Amino acid sequence: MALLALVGMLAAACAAPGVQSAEPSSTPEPSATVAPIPLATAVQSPAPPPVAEIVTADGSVEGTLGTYTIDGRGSDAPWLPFSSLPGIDLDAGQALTIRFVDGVGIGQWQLLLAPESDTAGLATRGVDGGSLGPLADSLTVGPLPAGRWVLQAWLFRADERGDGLTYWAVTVR
Amino acid sequence: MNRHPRIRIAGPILAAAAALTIATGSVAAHGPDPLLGGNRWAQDQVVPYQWRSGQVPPAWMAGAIDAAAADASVTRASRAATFARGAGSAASLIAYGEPTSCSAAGIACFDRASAPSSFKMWFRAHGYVFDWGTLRWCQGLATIADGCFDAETIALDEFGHVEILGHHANLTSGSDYLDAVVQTVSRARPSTGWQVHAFGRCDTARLQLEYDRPSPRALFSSCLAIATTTTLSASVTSLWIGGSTQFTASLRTTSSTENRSLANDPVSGRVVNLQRRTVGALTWTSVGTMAQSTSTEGRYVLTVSPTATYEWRAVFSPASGDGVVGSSSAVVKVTVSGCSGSACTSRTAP
Repeated sequence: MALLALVGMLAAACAAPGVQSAEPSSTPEPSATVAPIPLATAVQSPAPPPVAEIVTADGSVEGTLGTYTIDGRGSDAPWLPFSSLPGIDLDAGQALTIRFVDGVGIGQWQLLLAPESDTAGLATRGVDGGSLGPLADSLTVGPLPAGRWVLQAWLFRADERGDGLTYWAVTVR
Repeated sequence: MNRHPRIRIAGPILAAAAALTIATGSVAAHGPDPLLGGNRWAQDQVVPYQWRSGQVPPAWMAGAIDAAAADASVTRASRAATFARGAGSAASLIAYGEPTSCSAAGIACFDRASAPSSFKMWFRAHGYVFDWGTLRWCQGLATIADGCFDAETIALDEFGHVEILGHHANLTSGSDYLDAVVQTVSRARPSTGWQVHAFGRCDTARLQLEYDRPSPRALFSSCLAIATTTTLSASVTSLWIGGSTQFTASLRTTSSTENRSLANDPVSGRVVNLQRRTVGALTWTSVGTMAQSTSTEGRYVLTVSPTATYEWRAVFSPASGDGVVGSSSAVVKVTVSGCSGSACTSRTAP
């Protein structure tokens, strides 16, 4: 029961895309000066950059972190090309599991594939499906189509403190 | 050539991991930029910045950053903060070159954790070597070439973050890339969107949600669909033939918390039509366009002399490109009666 309750709580947390707080709306008159209103971001210890890893039989493969935000800070990066990324080989029909390196829960996600030849990420396609594990700390996707791909995983922390794009070079045979 | 070791994944472990799952959470694409954590700036707050000591950008980069600050201010379509390079006492710092707080792959980065007091921003130096290639700022090239990044565009992206904007969620095809400058993937010349010097409609949507529109007449970002409410009243609801009544409509956004700073705002300068129908009929007839009140925002008026008893309503139909949803008022019935003799000296029926 406790597990089911946790899953329910996490699922509910995932169902509010793009909203970080339940802050009451202000209703400023256009001519008035309104003081800044704190958002509901708790003061906590600094979180590590939101980089992800793919779980393997022998451990895990940490991807390369591109653009990310965390606790009001962030970094912007271009599309990362195949040749610059850690590689993973998959058999056709295999799924793969992705999680944050620090093990934090996953909120929302978006997965994109681009062919190896696309060095700017201009010919991306979405990866359909994908499902969170029972503790919402891992995401299982696939199988991916055969080919050599850049896989971009955009994962949001379930605690809404940030999000990051992690890249791998994936070869599906 | 891949410089990293390749790893082979074992299927059984993954199959086990997939045994218990919940399916939810895919990023909602094509809406207002998400919200970053932290405090907002005050409405229309002027935020001065200066170059970090020892990391002053070259003139071509300084010009691009200053231009981006101006772009942010001019194209915010809201009462978001504005940025301008100020005196040496400014608390906000922008740095060029190492050290930075950027990720290993990052070309620029920011820190707005100290808002609304100050922010920090960093840009990698021209020629910096990454795993993915060598950074070229277009403004730093004697002859512009493909593969360079427009410093003004990237700086505008960073100022968007400083405002409070998270990265826009594009459609998986990326076809809506131009809806936002604040993007997850910075594009180089000549890819679509490599050089954009104005906030996109989904950037300004979030800015409006957090900081409100610049005025009641201003358009709502077309990346929004803000609900409205229209009310209608009549100065007289029972009159003799020949008398007149003034209809007054009020147009506001709804008070829904989803509207955030736009909630319950008066909406001026729109087209609000007055319509009537015979009591109990289904078909409405337009009587005229109500005039914007000169004294009260969001108020529209029209005086009519009805010749029979009708039901009346005010209808707001937004123009194309205005990110609001139309609305109609509740029905107001005005009764018109015939009169004779001295009773007709008063145009208002008893």
